Parts: sequence; C-alpha cells; structure tokens
Amino acid sequence: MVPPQFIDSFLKDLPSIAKIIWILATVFFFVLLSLVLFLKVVRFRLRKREAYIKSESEKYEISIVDYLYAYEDNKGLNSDQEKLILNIKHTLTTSINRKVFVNTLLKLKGEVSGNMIDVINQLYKKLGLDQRALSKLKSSKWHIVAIGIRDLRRFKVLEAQNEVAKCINHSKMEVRRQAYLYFINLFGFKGLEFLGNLKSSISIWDRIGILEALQGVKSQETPDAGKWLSSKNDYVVLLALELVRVYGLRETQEELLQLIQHENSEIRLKTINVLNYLYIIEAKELLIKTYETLTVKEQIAVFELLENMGAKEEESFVLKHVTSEVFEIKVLALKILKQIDAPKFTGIKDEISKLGNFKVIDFLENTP
Amino acid sequence: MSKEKKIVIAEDNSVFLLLIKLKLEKEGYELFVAEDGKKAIELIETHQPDLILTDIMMDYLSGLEVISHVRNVLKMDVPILVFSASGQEEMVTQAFNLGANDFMVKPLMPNELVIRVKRMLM
Repeated sequence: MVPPQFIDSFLKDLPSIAKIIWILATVFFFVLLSLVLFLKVVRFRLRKREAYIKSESEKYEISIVDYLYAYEDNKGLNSDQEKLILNIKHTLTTSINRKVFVNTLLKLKGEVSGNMIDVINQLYKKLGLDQRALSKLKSSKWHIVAIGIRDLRRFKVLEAQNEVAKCINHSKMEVRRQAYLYFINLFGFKGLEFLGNLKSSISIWDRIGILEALQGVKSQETPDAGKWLSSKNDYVVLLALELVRVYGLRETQEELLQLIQHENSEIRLKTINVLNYLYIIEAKELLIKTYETLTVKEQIAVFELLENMGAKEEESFVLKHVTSEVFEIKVLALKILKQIDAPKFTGIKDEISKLGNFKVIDFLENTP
Repeated sequence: MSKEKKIVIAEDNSVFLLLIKLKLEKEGYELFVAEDGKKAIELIETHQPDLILTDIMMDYLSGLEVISHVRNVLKMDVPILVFSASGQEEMVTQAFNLGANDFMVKPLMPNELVIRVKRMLM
C-alpha cells in the first residue's frame, strides 16, 4: 500500500496539467469499472430471464398439448382438462408468465387449423385471460390498450365488441388500427359498421390494412359501402370509394355521381377514377358540366375517363381542348378525337401541327 | 405393423412439433424430432426413416437442402412430405423438383396429416 503522504508529495510536485490528467484518469477508471459491473448484472439478469422463459414455455407447451388431446379424446371439458386449467391458472399470476403462455398459444395457433383453433380460443377464455385483456382497455397507457385489443382479436373474444368500440376514436393511431382489425377480423363486412362512428382520420396505411384484412373475409357477400359515401368524415368517404372500386359496387352509382361535387378535391379525383373504373357512362354529362370548376388533376382524370368511354356526343367538348395549355389534356383530347372521329382528327392535324404540336400528332398517328 | 415405421420430423416450432410428435406416436410410429435442418440430416443418416416430414424454413439448413441431401447425397428414395406456409408456393415447386412427394400448407389439421402419413407409408 502506498502511504498517503507519498501521494500528497507526488501530486504537489506535478505540474497542474498532469494533476488534471491524473484526476480524470482516476474518475474514468471508476466510471468504467461501475459500467462493467452494471453490464455484468444486466447480462446476468437477461440470461436468467431468458432461461426462465424457455423453461416456462416448455412447461406450457406440454400443458397445452395435453389439454388439446384431452379435448379430442372426450369431445368436451373433462376432469383432466379442468385439472390442467387449474394448474395453468396457478402459474399465471405474474405478467411474464401470462405473456409466455399467450405467446405459446399463438405459436401453435399459427400452425394448426380447424377444430383446434376453437379449443385454443376456449382455453384462453377458460383461463380468464380474456378478462385480463379486457381490463387492459382501461389502461391509461395507449400501448397497453393496443395490446389488449390485439389479444382479444387473436383469440376471437366477440363479447368485447362494446368495449373495443369505445376505442374507435382513440387519440393514438395504433389503438384505432387494432380496433379496426378487431372488428374486421371477427365480424367480416359487418364489422365495417364502425365506420359510421368514426370521427378520426384513417391513414393510407390503415386503408391498405383494412382492405387486406377484408380480403381474408370468407363471404360471398359484398360490403354495403354506399352509406359511407355520404359520410361527413372525408377519410371514411375515401375508404368507401376504395371499397366500391375493389368490390365493383356499381349499385352505388347515385352516391358516386353526387360526390363529383364534393368539396374535397381528393374525394372528387378518386370519384372520377372510380367512375372510370366502373364504366359509369352516366357520369360523362355531369363531369362535362362541372369541368371548369375542377382542378387540373381532376380535369386530366375526366379526359382519362373520356378516353375510356368517350363517344361522338363529346366531340364538341373534346375539340375545345385540343389546344389546351395542359400537355396531358391536349394529348388526351387529340387521342379521344382520333378514336371518336378519325376524319375530323385528320382534318385538323395540320393546323395543330403548325401550333408546335408536330411530335404529338406524329406520336398519335403512329400509335394504334 | 406401423410400430416398426420410423419417421423423422424436422420443424422449428417446438409446440407444433410436440403436438405432431404425440399425435403420430399415438398412431404407433416411432418418431425422431429435429428442430433444425442440420439435426434432421443427422437423424436421417442414423435412423434410416421410412418417412420424412420437413418444414421449409429452418435454421442452419432449409427443408429444401434436407430434401436435396436425402435425394442427391444419401441417394434414399424415402417419401418426403413438406410443410409450407401460404405464399411459399414457389418453394413447394422447388421441393417437388428436388424430390419431395407431398406437401401440406400451414396452418394444417393434425388429423389430415395423420391420414396423409398413413397413406404415404402404405
């Protein structure tokens, strides 16, 4: 051991810069030492937790498989199953055990189908885990609410619909997303009724997610999207337009025609595209009438619609736009004219070429 | 008779593996389980099974590599049934090209699997 008076005299004789370096080196040494110890403890705890999860998971796997086979043999809840339920229930007192158990159930659910899925869902309920998930919906933390709804959906807890419905307008997008998925996955097209109560926005990703979830609905019916086309929530209208397009809902024609005059330009544009997609000829007259009030994007969409279903009656309207300042409109107008009245197109092509449109005319003449 | 039949099953989902193992053992088959492709090959080489059930996506060696090893290296004509998830249709085609005999899409019904296994071992 070095005597303190020796350290004192050593430090006194040193220049100040060397003293500072010594002090810093000592401080850093202790910081490093404590960090190393801290990491050791964290690593030890993580490994211990991992080992615990593995061992619990293995125990639960055996219990679940035993439960499933006990069910299969006796076609009903028997004493073996009741005993198993009781045993598992005793172990589910901590959140980590509940998490491990639910994950094990989900791991199996992804691999099997048929009757076993119902038995797994039944086991989830018998263990009271549905009530646990339901109680999460009252949490003040949004991610806990989202997890609760997710679990209720995964284990098909239909009885929770009233509670989940309260989360439809939650301030957090993830919670709302889980609520949509709950209704669609569990109730199919009927689950879309939540749109009637929706006051918040639906992001593009959510729209895609909803459409994807609807693809999994095994039903010959189509959604009744017409009523949402007149919703006061623009996001609902946009989703409804998407549904109309995907399911080819031509019966919503009247509502679609009304949307041409909607105040939201995104809705108007989408409506024109849907009318074009569904080949609704009745839209042409109304679109031509309101053409001047539309934005350039919408006007281009109108010409795309006419390109698809234009007829001789639209010739005068088309002729008015063959010299449009908007390139896309000009090209489409000439293209439509060529389709509906080829002699007229031939008659005016020289005149149009002179206005600096030689390449456009050349392109159209060489395009079938 | 079925007591003598040996089956190697390669599957990385432990709970599903356990479920299938018990189901097939109940039918009287002798089961050897592997949680990855590497172990599956070891079991196949050691036990010379009458049937191989393998998942496609596994650690170390995939189901496709297992099939390829069985057909091309070990030169065994043991029947092979492949488990695939939906969306792995291309891999199933590859599995058939490599020499697989049948496939089942997950999620699957364990009872149906037993029927197929029985048929393949007839």
